[in-house]
Amino acid sequence: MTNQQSVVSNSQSKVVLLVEDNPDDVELTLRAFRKYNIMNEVVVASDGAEALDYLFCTGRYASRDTNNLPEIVLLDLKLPKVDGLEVLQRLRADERTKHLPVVILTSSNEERDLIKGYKLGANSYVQKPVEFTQFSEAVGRLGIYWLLLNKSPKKGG
Amino acid sequence: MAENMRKTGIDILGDLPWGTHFCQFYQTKEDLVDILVPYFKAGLENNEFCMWITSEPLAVEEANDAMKKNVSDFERYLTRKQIEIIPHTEWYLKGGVFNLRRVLTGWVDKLDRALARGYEGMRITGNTAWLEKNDWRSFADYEEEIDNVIGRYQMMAICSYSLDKCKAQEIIDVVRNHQFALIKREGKLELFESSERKPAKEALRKSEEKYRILYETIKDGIVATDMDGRILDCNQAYVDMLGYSKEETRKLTCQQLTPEKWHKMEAEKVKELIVAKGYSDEYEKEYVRKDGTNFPISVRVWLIRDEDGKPKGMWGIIREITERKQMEEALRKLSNAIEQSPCSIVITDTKGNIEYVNPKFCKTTGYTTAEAIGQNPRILKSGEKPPEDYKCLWDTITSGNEWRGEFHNKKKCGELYWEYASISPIRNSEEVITHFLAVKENITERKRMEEEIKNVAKFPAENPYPVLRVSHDGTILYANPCSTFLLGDWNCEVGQFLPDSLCKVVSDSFSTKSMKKGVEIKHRDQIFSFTIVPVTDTAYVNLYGVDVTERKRAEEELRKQRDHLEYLTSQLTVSNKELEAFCYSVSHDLRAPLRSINGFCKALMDDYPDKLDTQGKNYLQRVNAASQRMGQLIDDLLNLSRITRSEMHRKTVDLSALAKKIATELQEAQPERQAEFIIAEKLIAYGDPQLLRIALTNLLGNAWKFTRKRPRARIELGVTKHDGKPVYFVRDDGDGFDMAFVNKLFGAFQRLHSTTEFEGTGIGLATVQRIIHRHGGQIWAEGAVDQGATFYFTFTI
Repeated sequence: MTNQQSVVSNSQSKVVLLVEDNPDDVELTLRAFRKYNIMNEVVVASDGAEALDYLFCTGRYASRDTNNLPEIVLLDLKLPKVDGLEVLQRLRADERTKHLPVVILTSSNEERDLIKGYKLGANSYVQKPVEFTQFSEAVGRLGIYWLLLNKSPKKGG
Repeated sequence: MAENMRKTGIDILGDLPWGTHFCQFYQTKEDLVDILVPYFKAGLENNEFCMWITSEPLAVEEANDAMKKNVSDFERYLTRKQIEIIPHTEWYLKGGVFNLRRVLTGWVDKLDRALARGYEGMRITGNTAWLEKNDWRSFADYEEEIDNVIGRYQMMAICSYSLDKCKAQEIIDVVRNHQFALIKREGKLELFESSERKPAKEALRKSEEKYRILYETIKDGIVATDMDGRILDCNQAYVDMLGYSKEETRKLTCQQLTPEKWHKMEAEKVKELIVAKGYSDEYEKEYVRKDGTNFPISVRVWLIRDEDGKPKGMWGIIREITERKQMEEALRKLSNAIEQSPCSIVITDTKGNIEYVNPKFCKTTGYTTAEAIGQNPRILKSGEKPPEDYKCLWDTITSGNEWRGEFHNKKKCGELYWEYASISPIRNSEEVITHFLAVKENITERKRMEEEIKNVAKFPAENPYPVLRVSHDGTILYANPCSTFLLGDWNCEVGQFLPDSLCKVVSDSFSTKSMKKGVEIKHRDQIFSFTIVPVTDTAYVNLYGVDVTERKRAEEELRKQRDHLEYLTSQLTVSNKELEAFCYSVSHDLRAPLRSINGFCKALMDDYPDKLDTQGKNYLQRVNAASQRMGQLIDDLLNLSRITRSEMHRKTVDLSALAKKIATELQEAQPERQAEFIIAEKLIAYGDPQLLRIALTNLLGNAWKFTRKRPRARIELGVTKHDGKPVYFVRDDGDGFDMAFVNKLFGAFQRLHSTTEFEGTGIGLATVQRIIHRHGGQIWAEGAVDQGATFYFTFTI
């Protein structure tokens, strides 16, 4: 079950891939983006397998252009089918997605997840706070940072 | 002396005075009778007492017969005892030996009686035919003596000498000792008078003669020198001692005869003693013989002065003391031997009083020489020896025999010691016991060793485990009592072979010269572990057994326990994994719905503020707060579980520094608060730095929290001692707690205050307790409401 939502963006080319199985969290994330006026297109993958299909243009996304990578991937860890860490591992193992910014956005504050995430090449690790104000602040800030301030290699080069 | 002239009865002599002492040389009996019969006839007729001592060749009877023939009333003289004719054996040799003094006093005695009986004097003769060569010298002395005696008394004597028995030198001796001599030659009587015996110089001549004899016969060397030591005269003994002739010595000086090293000493003696005093004391030095050898001498020197009293020379009497020196040396050696003897030596008188002890005695007994002298050796008695033994000892030595035996004696300090003693009598030259000598050896150590050897020898027999000795081929040589059952099991005995399997082990051990441990032998339900030890130099192999039944049982038990423990550990690992999975799930999944609750509450409040009244907003507010609190609870719970599960990495932790840092953080977080932190210096613990930081943060944080109401809080970290171990404490002067609830303090999510009064989930102290427990320590608390709280904790390293 996919939940695609087109939003008005100040930079239409910058797509956000949100890998999240919990629809509530998807809703809250999108709400936080809105709150911070982040209008980029958000593609939602509800499990790891779908995220990989999207990124490598396989399965449902076979017709997609592989060169058209999202600006950032927001990756939950605990996912059906293929879990978040494995998705990360696969991304980093592929030349095409090696430098793709990945932010782990998870409920877990387990030390080992954090360490493993960074070890596999995550660019950032953000724990989802329970309190919504904090949550929306965290998501909003990371959107601003990665979408507006950060320069990715492919853009630079 | 003219008034004392007596008729001799011999024509050629006529009258002679009292004191005349002459001799007669004879060849036959007739020669004797011809002289002596008229001699005694004249005596008898002139009221003199007569004594005729006969000898061969004239017997007493023959003399009697001759007198009877020539003296008409001889029987009358004989009857009134005016004349005695007796053999020499009853006079000179009375008692078997010639005793000069007895004979001389005998003469004087006879004279005294004669005079008492009214005779005018005494006329005697004695034949010397009985004289043997050996006696000649002493008889010559006698003649010299009697010459002196007769000269002073109313006596007249003829001494008869057999001409055939005397040699020239002896005749000269005889003549020299008598005033004149009668010799019958060719039927005619002749008178010889010694030319030296001129009456006027008689006394002087006699004196000089005596000194001359003395000078030449004396054994000491006599030497006369001038003041420069040149030898002027010396006697025979002196030259004999040196090996020179008299002529040679006259060319020598005393210095030449003395080794160089004595010169200085002797020169001083001459200067300081001899010249000053006129003589020296006896002193010792050495002389050199002609052959170059040295010998020790003792010397006395007198000074000779001339008419003016000026020193003109010296007389020296020199005695060779080689023998004395040797004796002294021998004595010194003997004395040293006794003084340095490794044996105790004690000499007592015949009553047992100690007269001498050697140093070893003092060393052994602890008594000084002064303490021991005069004591009886019974001061050493320990009282263990029965009195009969001492009696036996005493009987043995007083009867002149040696006693040997052991004593268990007591030292001065009371310590007992063993000695082996030999006690024997010492006798003087007359074989009379004068002293007893005890030579004793301290045998305490030997006794102890013997005892030890005896004990050691009993060792294998006393061993409660089997001990066997076998030859290298497995023949049993010895089996201690405890191994009897093994021999029974093996159906063999000493002298036979071990079972084959053991024989093999024994011979392997022997040939490889290596000990083999852990050879197990079973006996019923017992297990023995044997150590096989080859004794290569004696071709033996020793087998030492130990009962390991219990040990084996314990080992088996231990193995079971270990297996069980391994099982439990694996179970625990599984549980831990499950717990971990659970925690992970909680961390992840429990939070998500909360976030939804909180998030959508917020969305409602944000998006529909105009659709909700105050009451509705308040409800949403509460839902929001509850979700937040639950989020906090989940976090705390996870933290607590993490503390239990995380791995420990112990190192040295400076609690003082850590506490100061936490205190600073607390103060910075709430700068408006007034608080005093008193943190003891150098509190060092050994533990996991992360965990200890959490524990201290919680304890100090608690103290900080519960002193909030104090205008000026006081928070202390210190250490005290309990049972010698350090006990740390965190003390505050805050709200404290009721001791009735003390057991609830450390329970997870247990709270003694409402969240509105003091924030928190009630997980802090539970966390601290887990951390302290993980460090093997204890934690407890003391407090009272409004009077502060103290948390004590310990660590085990």
